[in-house]
Amino acid sequence: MLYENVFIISGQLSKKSADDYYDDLLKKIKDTGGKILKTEFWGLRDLSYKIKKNSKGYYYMINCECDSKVFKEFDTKVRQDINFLRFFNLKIKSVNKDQSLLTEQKNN
Amino acid sequence: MRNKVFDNTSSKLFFNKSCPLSGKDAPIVDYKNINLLRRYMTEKGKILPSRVTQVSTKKQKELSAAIKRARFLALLPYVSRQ
Repeated sequence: MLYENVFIISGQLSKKSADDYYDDLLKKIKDTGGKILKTEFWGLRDLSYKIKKNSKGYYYMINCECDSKVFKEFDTKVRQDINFLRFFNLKIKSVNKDQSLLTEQKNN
Repeated sequence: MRNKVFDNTSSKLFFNKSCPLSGKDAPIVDYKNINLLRRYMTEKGKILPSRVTQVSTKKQKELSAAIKRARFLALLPYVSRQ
């Protein structure tokens, strides 16, 4: 199965420690035998509304082919970790090779 | 305003009859395409009805799903009070 995942990590952290969270997620997908097909970093964005008292967040997107059991772990992580704001998961039919619009906005 | 929407003769003058999101050159409806989604919302953040925007039923369903996804990710507001 192909999946598209978006993670939001608290903007109160430094970029390095946010990247550590992200690397940890990548590792977990790989450890369970998943393949990572595409990753994107959307930058430090303003949130439209406050989540866990945060008004900014780092956005990461991962397209992967993996087992759905991994996502259960992420769900519990969102509930338990203060710095882990959102986890969003979508089934997709194919991976779009172009960069998404949100990354382009960041570069400009 | 109401008469313009429902009156057949005047609606031809003011509104494009075909769906702006269907057809060959139409933009892709996706939760990442925020600027497109914003055009189909009110200033307060409500989804505009398809009877106003002339979006087809199929595309309106995609639109509303995309907007709700973007809202969950805090890319778009549920309610904006500005």
